[in-house]
Amino acid sequence: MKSEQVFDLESQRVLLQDMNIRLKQSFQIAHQPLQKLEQQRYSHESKTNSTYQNTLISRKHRRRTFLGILIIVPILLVSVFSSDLTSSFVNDNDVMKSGYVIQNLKGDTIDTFHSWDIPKERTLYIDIVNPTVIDNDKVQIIRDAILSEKTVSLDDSLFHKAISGSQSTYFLGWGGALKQASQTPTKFTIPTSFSINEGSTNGDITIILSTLESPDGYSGFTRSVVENNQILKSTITIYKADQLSSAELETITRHEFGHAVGLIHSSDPYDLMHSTIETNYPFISNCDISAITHLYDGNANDKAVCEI
Amino acid sequence: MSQIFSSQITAIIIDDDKGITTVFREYLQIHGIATLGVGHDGKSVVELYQKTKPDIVFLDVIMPDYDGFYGLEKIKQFDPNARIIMVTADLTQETHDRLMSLGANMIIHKPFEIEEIIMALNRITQLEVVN
Repeated sequence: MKSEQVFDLESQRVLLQDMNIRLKQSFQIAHQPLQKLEQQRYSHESKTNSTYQNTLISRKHRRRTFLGILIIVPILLVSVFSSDLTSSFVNDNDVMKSGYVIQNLKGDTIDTFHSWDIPKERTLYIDIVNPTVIDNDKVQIIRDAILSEKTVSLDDSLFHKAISGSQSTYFLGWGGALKQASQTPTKFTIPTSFSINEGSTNGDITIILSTLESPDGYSGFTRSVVENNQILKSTITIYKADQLSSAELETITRHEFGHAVGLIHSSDPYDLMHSTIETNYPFISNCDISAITHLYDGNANDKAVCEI
Repeated sequence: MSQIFSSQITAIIIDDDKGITTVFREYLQIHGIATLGVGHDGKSVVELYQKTKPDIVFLDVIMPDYDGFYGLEKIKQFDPNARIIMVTADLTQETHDRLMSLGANMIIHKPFEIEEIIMALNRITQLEVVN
């Protein structure tokens, strides 16, 4: 028993050390905006001091400067003239803009996690916790991001996939996307039936609308409980839900729900499932749909390659 | 707040060392896991489990009176699907085999290796994030 006390103390030390590291990281993230403001203030103060000092110097040495100007001006005239001579050979690099498009022939990949393993026709129950922190229109936005079967066609050039002219179809909600995915026969049943309830917490997927800020700076966070390679329960937390715009709420819900059904992240920065959402068109792509069919065909913890 | 945490991943911690339970509780909180209860012997864990129905149980093996073997066996009798992570300083094969035969889902050894703890948490709660 006594020897275990030593192990207990050592275990506590290890945990505290890791907690310390994590808290330091959170602290740094939380204070980044403050540091920026400090830098801006410092820079502004430096400029003000410099201007003030220059004024003092110029008053004190006005006469000496005037004499200096008389000597320096002819030298400057000569040097301006000579630089003018060479200007026709030198480019002005102050403003340079560059653009490029890389078409990835191999195709981007989406990591797959685990799938749900449910009987055919089984409905997944989704609970929204704390719906009162947002208005009803925004609750409807969450419902649409999950249930909608609407599609939109967008030019592939917007996603840097091809030159303009060709178009691809994107789903606005997972309801339609998953139905599309289920057209392909798979080993496990792709969930296509969902029922959303407000206030309950006993569902398969729970969406918590938190008014708190994530300690790690995340907008959304999905946890899934897994046993025997199947998802048993997923919990999505949307942080600062009461401060999000409709578009932000819609995008975060759509992205996190992708995790809840088993996808991880895409390597494509223009895809909804990229780890940071940079695209202006955060809709469910054909690549996301093929990753779902790949996952539910028994390819957990794998990479689904997006064919172009 | 209670509503927010009510559907997070939940845990109970049982260890006769109060220092460990305190620090471990804080550690789980940092990882977003809510601790619903803390116990200090193998008997209290059964009552605690029945009362709180947590997603995960962290259960120490070597405890006075009612040890972790007792707690593990009783919880599994009550709920065969309970997810129980056994925590022990005992590295013997005999203990390992006995714990596995009683249905332990995972065994973590003391003193903790941080990678081992994180792996355990990741195996049970897969964390997906987006900035």
